[in-house]
Amino acid sequence: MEQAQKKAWLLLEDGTLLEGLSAGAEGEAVGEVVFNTQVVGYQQLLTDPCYYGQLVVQTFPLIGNYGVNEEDNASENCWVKGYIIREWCEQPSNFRSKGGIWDYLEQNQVVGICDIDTRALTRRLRIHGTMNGLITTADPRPDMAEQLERLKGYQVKGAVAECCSKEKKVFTPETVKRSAVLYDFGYTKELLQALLDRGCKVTVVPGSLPAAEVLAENPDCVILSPGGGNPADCASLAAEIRKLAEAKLPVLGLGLGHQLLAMAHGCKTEKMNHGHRGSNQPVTDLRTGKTFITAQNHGYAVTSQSVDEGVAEITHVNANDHSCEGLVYKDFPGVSYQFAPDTAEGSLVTENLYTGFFEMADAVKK
Amino acid sequence: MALRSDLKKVLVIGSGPIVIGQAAEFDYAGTQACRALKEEGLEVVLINSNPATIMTDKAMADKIYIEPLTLDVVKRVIEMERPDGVLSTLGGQTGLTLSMQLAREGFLDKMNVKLLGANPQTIDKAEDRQMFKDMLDEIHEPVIPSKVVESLEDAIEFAATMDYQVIIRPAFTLGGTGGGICHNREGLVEIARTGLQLSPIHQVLVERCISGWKEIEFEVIRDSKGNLITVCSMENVDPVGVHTGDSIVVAPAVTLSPAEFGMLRNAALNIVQALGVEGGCNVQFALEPNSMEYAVIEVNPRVSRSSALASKATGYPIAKVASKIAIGFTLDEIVNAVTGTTYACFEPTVDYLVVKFPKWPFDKFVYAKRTLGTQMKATGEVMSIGSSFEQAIMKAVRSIELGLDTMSLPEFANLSDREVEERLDNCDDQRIFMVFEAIKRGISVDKIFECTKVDRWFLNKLGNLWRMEQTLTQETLTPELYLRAKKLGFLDKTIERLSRQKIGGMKRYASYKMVDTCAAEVEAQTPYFYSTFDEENEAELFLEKNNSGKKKILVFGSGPIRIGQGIEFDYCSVHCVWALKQEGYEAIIVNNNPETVSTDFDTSDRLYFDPLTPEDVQSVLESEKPWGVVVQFGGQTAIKLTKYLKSIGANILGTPAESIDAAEDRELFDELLERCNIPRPKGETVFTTEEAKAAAGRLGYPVLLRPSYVLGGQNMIIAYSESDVQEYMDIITSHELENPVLIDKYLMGTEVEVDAICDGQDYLIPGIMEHIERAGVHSGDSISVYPAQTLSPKIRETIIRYTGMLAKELGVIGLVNIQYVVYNNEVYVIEVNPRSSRTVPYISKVTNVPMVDLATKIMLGAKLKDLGFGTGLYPEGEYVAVKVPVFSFQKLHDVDIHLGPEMKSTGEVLGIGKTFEAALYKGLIAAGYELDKVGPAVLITVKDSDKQEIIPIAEKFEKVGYDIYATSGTASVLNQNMVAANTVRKIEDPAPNILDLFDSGKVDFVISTSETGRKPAIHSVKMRRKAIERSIACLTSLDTANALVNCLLLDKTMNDFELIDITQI
Repeated sequence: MEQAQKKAWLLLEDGTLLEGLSAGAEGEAVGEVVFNTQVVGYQQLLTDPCYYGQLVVQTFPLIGNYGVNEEDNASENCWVKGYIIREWCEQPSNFRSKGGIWDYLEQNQVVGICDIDTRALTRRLRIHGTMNGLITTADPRPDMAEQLERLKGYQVKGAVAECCSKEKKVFTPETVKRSAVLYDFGYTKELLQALLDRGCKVTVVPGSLPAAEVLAENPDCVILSPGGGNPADCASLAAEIRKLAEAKLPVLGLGLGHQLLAMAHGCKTEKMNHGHRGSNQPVTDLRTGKTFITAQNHGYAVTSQSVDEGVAEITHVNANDHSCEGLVYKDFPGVSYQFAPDTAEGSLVTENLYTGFFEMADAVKK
Repeated sequence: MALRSDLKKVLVIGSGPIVIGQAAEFDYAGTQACRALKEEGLEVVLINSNPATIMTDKAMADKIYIEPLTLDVVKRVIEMERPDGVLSTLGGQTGLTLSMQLAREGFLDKMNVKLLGANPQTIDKAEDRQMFKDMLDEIHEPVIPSKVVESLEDAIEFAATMDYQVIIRPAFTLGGTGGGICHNREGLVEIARTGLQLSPIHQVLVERCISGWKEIEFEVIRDSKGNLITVCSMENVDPVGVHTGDSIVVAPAVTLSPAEFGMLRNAALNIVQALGVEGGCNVQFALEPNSMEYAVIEVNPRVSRSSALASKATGYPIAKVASKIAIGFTLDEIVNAVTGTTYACFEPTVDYLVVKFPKWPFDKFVYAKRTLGTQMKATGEVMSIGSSFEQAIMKAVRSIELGLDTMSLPEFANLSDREVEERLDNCDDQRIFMVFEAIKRGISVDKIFECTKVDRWFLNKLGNLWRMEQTLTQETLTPELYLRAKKLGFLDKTIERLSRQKIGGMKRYASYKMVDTCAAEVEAQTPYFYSTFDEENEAELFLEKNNSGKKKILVFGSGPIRIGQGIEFDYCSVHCVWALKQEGYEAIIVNNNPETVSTDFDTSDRLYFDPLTPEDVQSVLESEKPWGVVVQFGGQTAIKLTKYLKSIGANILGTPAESIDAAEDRELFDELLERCNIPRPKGETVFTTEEAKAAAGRLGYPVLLRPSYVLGGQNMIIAYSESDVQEYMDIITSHELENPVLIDKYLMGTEVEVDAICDGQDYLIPGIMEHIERAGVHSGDSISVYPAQTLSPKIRETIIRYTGMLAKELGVIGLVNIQYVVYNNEVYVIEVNPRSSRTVPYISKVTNVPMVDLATKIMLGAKLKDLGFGTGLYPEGEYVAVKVPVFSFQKLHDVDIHLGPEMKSTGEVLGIGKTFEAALYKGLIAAGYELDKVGPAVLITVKDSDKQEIIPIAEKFEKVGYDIYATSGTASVLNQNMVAANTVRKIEDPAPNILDLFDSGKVDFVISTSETGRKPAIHSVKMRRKAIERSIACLTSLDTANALVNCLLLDKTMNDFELIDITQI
């Protein structure tokens, strides 16, 4: 706050204009404005491909408290396009910290704005639904009409193509229990680590790879990774995934992967009003009646009504809004979850989700 | 799973009197519990000895026993009431320990009563040090190297292996009583010995000292299905070494990265899972600041002070949810009352920062050892909510009522830089201010961190506050700078003072944000607000949307619990809110105390969790635009706002501001008494020591000295000589003397107290109370008896007449509390407080006159004669009620326990009986006096003026069967008067002396009175401290001693007295 901060503006599709101060990279960023309610984890968030093409509002007002470091990146890049916060921390304090949030945003060209009433903004997004927005360090008022036109036309496109690996990579753990293909639509390091920790030799393949090539790998199972963007834009990917199911290969779908697997089986997806983004989403396992807390970051969901009972069973729902959170398939060994069971925070309660899948996969193998 | 079908009737055990370490938070928890049970249609039976609580209110339970919380009494209640279950985890350590004893003895099984909320295995695993360690080992959770020992020798042996850098934790003691950190063999011996003595099972834990590590807490809830959530994380600003109750705490934890956060959260969940807790559980960790190394410090498998804080910090009602779980519900079946649309099975998230700041009694106990350690010393706390740490801590510091509006403590300004640096090592209640002083002196953050281990994050934030102070003093005040300062929590008056510039047209009022458990993700139903400085004002939006058309009334709460202003004012505030709602008004609370019922989000129509200073309050008024405001129920904290509220033209309901002033201003008050022709002890007003000595000479010793505008007799003494006056004036003039010192002739008569309700014409006196102790002992520390037992009809009539005259003449509309002294058959007025008082809750409960309710209605315009309770003195009931004070002296080192005009008790209990004897007996038992074991010995050492009067008291002790020990002077008087007394050498004499007598374990009671001085070095003070440290009851008023020995003479036990359900009286 010592340095004279440059002004910045946030313009929303509905015409709302908020003035704040520039934080991180200057310039402009157009994207879908979404809010996230978690208290810790900003660095993982910034590097999570799920946020591709989005401007993220942090509801927690103090960002950057524990600094940034190399280990906490969820992937190679920052995918968040713009960052909207109340206050950034000038002097982070944590033994793992290697730098501050401002520099990190600047280095990764994330256009940021701070000093925003993030709660008022969040309420607007909750009431009116997710909308597009523009963060800019150039006063947008002179050409508002034009800018608003531009915002109305914006759509998050090409998330998977942008975020996924461009080539095949193989990761081998110390003890290999089985082989797995990680179909990459934008995976995070945590997911890969979770698979390695559980004895999977992981072959990461680009999301665009035809199913035939995945089948040619002859893996014991396939994991469909989470990713960003609108699942409806990925119909061709769903068609490929369909082939894996037809080959009766054990498949675990997560996040976008869960949605694509559902689409491959005739289900529809829908855009949610404001999505689930945070680390406190309660998910109920309908078979046990138990509820556990998960981290989520999605704006689309599988439409529950579109799930054909003959094809799949809804096993998990969100305890708050009852949206579909998990499916198990009937004609092949496939399960899928909307949320990410791979965060360290949830491991106590979500461990069984992995265990369950791998037991199933290993049984097929025998 | 829903409600267990085998439950129809449930017994709730409360936590008893307020003591340090177990305070108002359990009234909040207990009240929530009772409501949660009643909501499900259960019949609720309650036992709690504390009459000042809301939970013991007739609206809260179906049957209420204000009886001693002893095992036998609880058993009798169970036998009488035959409940189906006992709720064990809502009544603090007291309730839990009692429940466990009942369960372990097999009593509950025998009576076919289910233990709800806990099972003995879980509690043992959490509370028995060895079992706790074994459990953690089993689930691979790290513990601090430690050893459970039962002898001093073993303690020494283990501590030596740790180079004596160890901490002692006695098993099963409240708030860590008797524990402490040692650095050498000597310290170890002292602390371990006390610890072993104080532990009911004579067991202490000796563990490696990890002071300086970060202290992190999690509140976890688990249900019978195994659903498991964390409600809140909390980080102590003060690292490990300071009791969490004495730490400044922030929520959520701010200096942890996801790696550490996730690790500790998982550990917390693991532990609660392994314990099998069903309900709320608090888990405390120590985290090494430079690695991932951590250790579990403590687990509390019940609701606690921390859970109350977490509830208020997030909006998630832990006690209510825990109660529902205890009676069979699961988290996914309990609706989140804040949103109304989601369930309790989720984790709250916050979009603000919360700071908790403790309130210590050191402003009252000037000689108390201020050092903070593992033993809690704070009597209460405040909480503040802000958009930034700076804003929140600034709010907190002005809420604790130390007269501060920044982090600067004026008295530190005179210290040299070197002194500041040295004193950084002192871990006491003022450390945070010393840290700020160090920042001001330019001492580096690293250096401060080295000394204090307070995380640099906090230090840098404090640095921001200092930079803003400098900017304000150096730069021109612009609207931008003004707003930046406001966002950092500066008050207008502070900004003007620092900048020496006027704010004028730049002035902005605070805007309000909602506490909603979910960071705005879901729409909330419950209007619970805090202030910040933003464009959008959610309170305003809420009001637009939810206009009930009702008149709005703002009720000011009483702030932090402190000696002299306790939970009773919360009782009054809450009752006022209830009455207002019932009368068709919208009631709005402003308060800053997280432990209370008043700050529960569903007590009032709207809750503003904010400081109670004029500016903070003005913003609420600006936002709410209420029709009226109420100040008379929030103790001195709310009364202090009167002048300001009047100046801005607020509609103060009830007693007008002028009257409040007239009662507090000496001259105005004297004029008023003269008009009424009511006598008061002669007195004068002085400013300097010389004036004081001269005045005392004119009045004649003994005299009473006190500052005008007092609270709980703060800084009040009886001076018997000029040197006492000197000592007192030295202390009082060391602070800025804004108001004069009052000096009065001290009349040693019978003290009588009256609470009355007045409507401007008529008055109603629910009851007259008489104190057992003569005037001179603060009314809050006296045993108070209703109805008065010894007053002649004439005196009684005089008191009634004076009360009516004073109330009318003062213009009281609502409540008034008047204290009288009856001396030589003459009634004198000592004090008039035109507000609610400490005695209102208990008098309301025993007389069935709903005093706050009536007062509230009268403030709204009703007349007493229409309210159905008559006028004048309300008829006496058939029961006698005796209020007995309870002290927390064991927690406060170096405080003289001698009773005097300065209040020292932290809480109270009530005894109710058909006769005075029965009520007194019960009251004493409830306060912890042991009356059913006889002897063998009592030690008597009294001042010369008491020596004649002690003879009959000693005789009674002898008659009961006690051996009498006395110091030489006292012994010779006793022996001369045919009371056999053994002479024991004084504490200052060579051994064997009194200390050896104490250590022999023979002494049950000590009766000690002395002329002068409160300084810890004085021998009599030291001797009394030693008695207290050995848990020997120490009586410092002959009246108390006499009352107690009369009870002993009855030769009865608790079982001889009927237990009384107060809903039936």
